[in-house]
Amino acid sequence: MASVHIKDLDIVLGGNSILKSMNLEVQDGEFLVLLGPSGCGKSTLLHSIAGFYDVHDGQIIIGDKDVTWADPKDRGIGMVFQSYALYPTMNVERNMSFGLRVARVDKAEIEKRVNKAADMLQLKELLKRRPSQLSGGQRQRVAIGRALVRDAQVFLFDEPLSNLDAKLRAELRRELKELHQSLTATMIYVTHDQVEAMTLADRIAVMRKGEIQQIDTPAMVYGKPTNVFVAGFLGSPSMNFVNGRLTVEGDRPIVRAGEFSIDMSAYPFLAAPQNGQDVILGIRPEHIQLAGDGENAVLTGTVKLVEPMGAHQIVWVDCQGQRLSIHTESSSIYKPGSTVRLAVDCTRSSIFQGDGERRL
Amino acid sequence: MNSTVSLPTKAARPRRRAFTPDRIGVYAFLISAAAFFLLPLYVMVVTSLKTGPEVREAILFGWPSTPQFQNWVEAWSTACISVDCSGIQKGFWNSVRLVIPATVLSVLLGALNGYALSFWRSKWGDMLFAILMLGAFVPFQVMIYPLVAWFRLGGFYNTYWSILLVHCIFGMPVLTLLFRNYYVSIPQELFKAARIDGGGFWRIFLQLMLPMATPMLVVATILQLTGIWNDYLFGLLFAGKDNYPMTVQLNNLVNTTFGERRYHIDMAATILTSLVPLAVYFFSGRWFVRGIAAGAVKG
Repeated sequence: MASVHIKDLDIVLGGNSILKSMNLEVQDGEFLVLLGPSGCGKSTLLHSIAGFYDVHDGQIIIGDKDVTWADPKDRGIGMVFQSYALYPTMNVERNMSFGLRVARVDKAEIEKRVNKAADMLQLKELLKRRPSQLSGGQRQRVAIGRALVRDAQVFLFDEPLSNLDAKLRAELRRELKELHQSLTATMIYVTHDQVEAMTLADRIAVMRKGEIQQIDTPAMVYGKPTNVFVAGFLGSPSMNFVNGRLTVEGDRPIVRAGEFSIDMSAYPFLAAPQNGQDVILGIRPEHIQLAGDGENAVLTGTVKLVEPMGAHQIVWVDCQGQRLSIHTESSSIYKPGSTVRLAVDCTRSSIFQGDGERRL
Repeated sequence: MNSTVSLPTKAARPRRRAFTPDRIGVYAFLISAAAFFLLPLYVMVVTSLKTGPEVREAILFGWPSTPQFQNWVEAWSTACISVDCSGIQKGFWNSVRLVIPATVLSVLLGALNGYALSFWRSKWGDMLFAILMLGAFVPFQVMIYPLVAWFRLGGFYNTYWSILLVHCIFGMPVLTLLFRNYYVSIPQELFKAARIDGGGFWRIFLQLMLPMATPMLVVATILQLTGIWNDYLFGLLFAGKDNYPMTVQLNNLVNTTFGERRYHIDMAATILTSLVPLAVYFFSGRWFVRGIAAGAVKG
């Protein structure tokens, strides 16, 4: 087990600066997820930690060793790739033991470790098979097993579940989480899938254009996103955004956007709100309630579309010119065209400054 | 909504007819095309089995009255090449001695080149590859004189080593291209995984990449085997008298002129010479097509 420190890391690939003075600390035993859209540099960061790219400037430290210029094999890492990257000419057992054989570990020890990993990943019956005779899920298990037998200090995952179908993905996701709990190893995991990020991570680092936008626990990243990019990246359906203007009337801050207006007195502002400021109001679909007749409601709107999801439904409402999605339980029936009253949970909303770059 | 809808009766499964007119047309074309290309071989075989007088009757397609298999034996072991009357067997063994090491060496070098160029990307790798490809387009006749001059300077012109080296050099562009294109289609992640597992340059090549490239190895081997076996010019220029390959010996046999021309013996010697590439194609055609196709789809 080891921590990972990245200090002022610059990565330049083919003349393009991909990462610029990146700083990142991963605690010992932590599960860190690097989340972002494609091209945000998350994979580049991971592959730099693995040692596949020459560092332009900066430092990479694993444990208490500076590995900036170390060979991939000397970094104490195990890595799992999206395409599995199993050796096609070797059977499962030899795939898993390749690294140990290279390192001339003695046979009894190799067998012990392979069997242990095979037990953990239910690969016992498959040891003699070739990768081509395995299903996608089994292949990825083998790839994970191959990383495990190396007894690495840090495990790196590069979108390991992206090639699997939805059901298998959920299954392997759980297995990975259990694995992390039983190994308590440091894991760095790259994905563009927000569900994987939310479910697996101790902390999520949301990246955009080579920069970390926010790094925090899943609850904080989801609940108190630092800017509109982070807010919009997490959550499905996406957070509702209302471009408006903040007015302070008396001591009541109110967000207005045309007809639409909402009293944000209950919102925990980071700094005292300024009158007349352009803002973006962000409300998650599950933080808007469809209110009954007697209940307290702040907005009214017209139902446009209903998307039943089984366990819940998404109701799209036109609310004084703003289109809002609302996450609600599936027992009530809403008809398109009917008028509904909405209650917004202001304390759990987000307000960003007009350019969307900062949370207010 | 319980009204019964009368469904149409089950349609009969269409019968596949073996011989439709268009099919017959296709076969007729294929068979005549095959016959056209097999004709020279046929003429060679029948001529090689005739007697001298029979050949001079000049019935090109005629079947020999009694097949003279001793023609083949004579061509192999007693036919005279200038003053040496031991047939073309010496040429055969010279060719074997040359083709096997030259094929193995050039294929391995090509694989190594392709592997290094696609996975260990060095600064000048692409440049080197471009130059190598350029080399494939320069007519090799242009390079003969400089090579002769260099080899003489190096002191091994007209030796076994010079002809071996020449075949390795001239095999390089095509073989490198073949293997590079194959390895480029393999995900880099596989290579990275092997790097993490601690594999070095040679281990990854020998234990991982070489076995993976089996189809390419087969194709490259066939290409080189037949190419080097069929080569005449390099053999004549670089091998030296003691190492003349079978093709050169064959030419000398055919061009040896005293007395009457013995076309039947020439043909027998020609068949013996072409037997090896014929056999290679015959037994490995399936592999060959598969390898080429695999390269075409992936590369």
